[in-house]
Amino acid sequence: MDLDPEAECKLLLKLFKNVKNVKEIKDQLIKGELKCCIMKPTLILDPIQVVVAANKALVNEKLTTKTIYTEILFNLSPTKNISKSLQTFGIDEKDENLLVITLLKEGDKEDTDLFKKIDGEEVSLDKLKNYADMNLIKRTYKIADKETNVTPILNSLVSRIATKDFLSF
Amino acid sequence: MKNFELIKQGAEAKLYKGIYLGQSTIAKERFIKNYRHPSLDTNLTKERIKAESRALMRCKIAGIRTPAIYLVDFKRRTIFMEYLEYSKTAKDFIEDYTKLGLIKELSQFFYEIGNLLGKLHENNIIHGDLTSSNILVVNKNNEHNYDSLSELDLVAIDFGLAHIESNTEDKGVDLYVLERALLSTHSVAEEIFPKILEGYKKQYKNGSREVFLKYEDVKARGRKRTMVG
Repeated sequence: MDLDPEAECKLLLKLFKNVKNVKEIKDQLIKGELKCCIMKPTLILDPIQVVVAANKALVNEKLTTKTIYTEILFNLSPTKNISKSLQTFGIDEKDENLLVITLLKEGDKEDTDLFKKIDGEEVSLDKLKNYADMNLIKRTYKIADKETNVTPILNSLVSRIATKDFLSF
Repeated sequence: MKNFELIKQGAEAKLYKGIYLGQSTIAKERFIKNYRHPSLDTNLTKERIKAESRALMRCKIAGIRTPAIYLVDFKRRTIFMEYLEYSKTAKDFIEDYTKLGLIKELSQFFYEIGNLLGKLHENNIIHGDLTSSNILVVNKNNEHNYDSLSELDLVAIDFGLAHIESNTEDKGVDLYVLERALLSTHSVAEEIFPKILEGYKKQYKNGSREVFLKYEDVKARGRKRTMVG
């Protein structure tokens, strides 16, 4: 997926279901052995949410968190609390479905070794919204019915992500 | 900016249209003012970009639709926001109906504009530049059809002069600015404005009375307060 030309890279999203080695993956992720960002698909209604968060991470000169991958998770979250953001949007051992995000520089090939490590079944990204939990999303991002009645939900989500560093909700 | 075309230039900002992150996008760039000291210019611009984004968000939370924000970039002095493809300005919409002699059928539409303004002020959002060009009429089903009011949404835009203020003075001025703008744009303004006020009053129950009193004051003296003594 295309990002800001300044970012000089593209975003690749893959969705997996029934993943059996989540614990193993999480351990490797924490050690920094996997060059990717993995999140719960329950809080993601549409890829544009991730695109806006990742784009912001890449355009910004300085990161708030340690790596570009944790920065994407942090940016997705409506709070400024780093550990809470990573907990909410990152994966835990009970998860079975994973949304994996990698960054591709010009000329880079897909990191097949990385995806081979995931012991699960790849699902088309079109199915992403079937994994989303609308009520949880509204609660997490604090979006009231008053707002959803007039404003499309994706509008509310991406706008919160884009402005959370200087506004609070 | 690559792949963007300039569509409008104002005193404060340039508006570009293009595709960004795969979405139809408006980029609003507040260009450098060379007559200002560079650091003052940077700071002022940053604060104005923040104020504009804040007003856009506050509106959404208050139940007023505004364009989605894709990126706020202080370095490039630009807000990237949603371009509404299937829309026209309330100004053009009103003029089209006026030409057809159908303005009487728009009572409900003006009432809803009044509702929107009432919601703004109820939440202490002062738009600062209310005109019929700064309200968009958007088709809900992504098509170019503006015939049925029930299929249309109102979207407030251009919060470049917006601020948060609870006093009645600024709200009164906001209404007065709108009235003047309507009078200079639409021949039917005198029919329109009372209906807008009616919708405003209905929405903004606990405050419209004071605002109306202030509005009468403002009308008698003009937008600027007398600063004698």
